[in-house]
Amino acid sequence: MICHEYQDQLQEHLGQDRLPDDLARHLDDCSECNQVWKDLLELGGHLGQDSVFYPETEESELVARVIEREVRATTTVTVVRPVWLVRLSAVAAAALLLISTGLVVERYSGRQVRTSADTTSAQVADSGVPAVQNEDDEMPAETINLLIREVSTRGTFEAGDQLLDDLSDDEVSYLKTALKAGDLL
Amino acid sequence: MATSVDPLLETLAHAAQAGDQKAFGELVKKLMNPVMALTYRMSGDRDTASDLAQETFVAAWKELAHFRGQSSIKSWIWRIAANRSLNYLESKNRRRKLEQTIPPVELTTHDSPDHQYERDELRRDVLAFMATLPPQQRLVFDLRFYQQCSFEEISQIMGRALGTVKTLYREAVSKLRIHARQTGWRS
Repeated sequence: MICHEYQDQLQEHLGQDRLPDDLARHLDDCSECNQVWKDLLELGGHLGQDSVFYPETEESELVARVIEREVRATTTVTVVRPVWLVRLSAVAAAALLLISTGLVVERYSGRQVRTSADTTSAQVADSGVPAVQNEDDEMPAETINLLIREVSTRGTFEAGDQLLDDLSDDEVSYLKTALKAGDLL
Repeated sequence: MATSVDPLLETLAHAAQAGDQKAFGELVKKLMNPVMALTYRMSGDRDTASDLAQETFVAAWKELAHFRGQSSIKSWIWRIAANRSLNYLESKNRRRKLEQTIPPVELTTHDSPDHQYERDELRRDVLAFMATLPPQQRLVFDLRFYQQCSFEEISQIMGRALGTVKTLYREAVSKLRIHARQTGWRS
């Protein structure tokens, strides 16, 4: 290697604590390159160290506080839900939709659906699931309670099927056409 | 040194990755000064440096899930700070403003008057020199000289070829030697 190449390498090492051995050896033998290195060291000394550019303590603390606030604000709590719980939620939502649909149909069609609230209440009391009382006796309380129990214990569509079974063909037909609930049913 | 891995920083980073805000706060404390020094020399302005440092750490928190440990956490945060600084510098209006203004030097309060004067002079000289360098060259010079990064590390941080990084540094040093002669840094 010629001196020019050594000097290029010396420039690359400005600011470094140690020189590679081959470079250090060359400096021992070459006064010109040695002088270049001394000049570079002097320049390096004039540039100071990183700490010269550190902020005042108060300033860095202020920035740290702002960052802390931002971090708190951007933190989102991630709750991992079991898959079965997500599915149950979907089932419950579908069941509630069916119930509300039934309520609307009953209210506007003026039909009287048979009730057996007393029996249902007794059944539900055994299961520990609170019964729903239907004040107007317009809806089949038995079905509602069965539905709730099914959803809260097993999370399947069986309760929805039960509800459909309780509806007459005309009622189902009405739901499909008038309320556009065909896909759900 | 940036090239060595600090086990404490890595531990804090992993805890922060798991959502530990306190650990992240400690990480911020450890790296605040060097990050702010970097952004200060890159931007030439203390207020901007604070803003860039703030953006750096907030971005780091948001992106921490993507930190895979392929580099040290310090290098990873350096990369964010470098990108933020370059984006700032490459904004045309701000760049023009930077080149036309003399870098302000803030007053320090805990130094003796003589020492304070020397430090302020030194900062002014360095910021004036840094302002003459194009952004990429400035960043390479800062990471190499002040942060003591290896060229390989700088290459990773900047996403530039190793040879390019070395060339940028040599050019910066050549400019420094010329600048020193012109401004009488050397006796």
